[in-house]
Amino acid sequence: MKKIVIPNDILLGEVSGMLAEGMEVIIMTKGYSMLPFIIGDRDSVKLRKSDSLRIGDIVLAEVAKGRYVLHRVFEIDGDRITLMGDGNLYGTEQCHRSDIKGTVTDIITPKGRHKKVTDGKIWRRLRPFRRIILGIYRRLLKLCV
Amino acid sequence: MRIKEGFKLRPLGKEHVVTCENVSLVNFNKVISLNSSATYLWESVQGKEFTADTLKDLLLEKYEVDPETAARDAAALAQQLLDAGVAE
Repeated sequence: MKKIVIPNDILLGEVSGMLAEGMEVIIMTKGYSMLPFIIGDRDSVKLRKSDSLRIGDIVLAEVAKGRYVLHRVFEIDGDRITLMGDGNLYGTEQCHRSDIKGTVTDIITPKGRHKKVTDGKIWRRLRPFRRIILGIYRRLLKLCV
Repeated sequence: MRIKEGFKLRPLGKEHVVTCENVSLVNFNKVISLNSSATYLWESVQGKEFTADTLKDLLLEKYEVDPETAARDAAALAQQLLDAGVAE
């Protein structure tokens, strides 16, 4: 099977429109910013536009014009939302509630298994130890691939 | 033959891709990418009954190709659409 790469802003702009219409969309993920829960270029996610937003949700958000991230909701302050990738140690993103385009309902492995999406509460508590755990995890991942 | 219900051609930047949109779910891991001539043929025959000959005539109308090449390309595309399960 051939892989075609479509620029993120174009693909995810289109995906955002579909989600707003009430469709569910499956896309392949990229990068390591959601380790250990989502492995980029391997796991896919199923997204849906949700009416409610909770801390711990994994969302697709347009954090700047044409710049999208798939990260976890870290803080909600009214309409002001703070996001953080599970695989990131420090960086967070801020956006408005209306910039949240969809919520991850399923994480799909290459074999087609649907993994349950958890709220990552324990992982958030483990933040001081993320560097160590992620370091080990990434090395293991490299060994396995 | 004809293109099955539920398949939609979408322009995505420089690409044209066909997605399957059954039960309001779109899976971008399973798309078919069309080049410009296949896009033209798809748009021309969508929703209609067609054969490899229809595709050949469409190619001859638009492109400066000899009939043999057009017939060969048309037959190949028709077969690919059937193999991919988007036409029946």
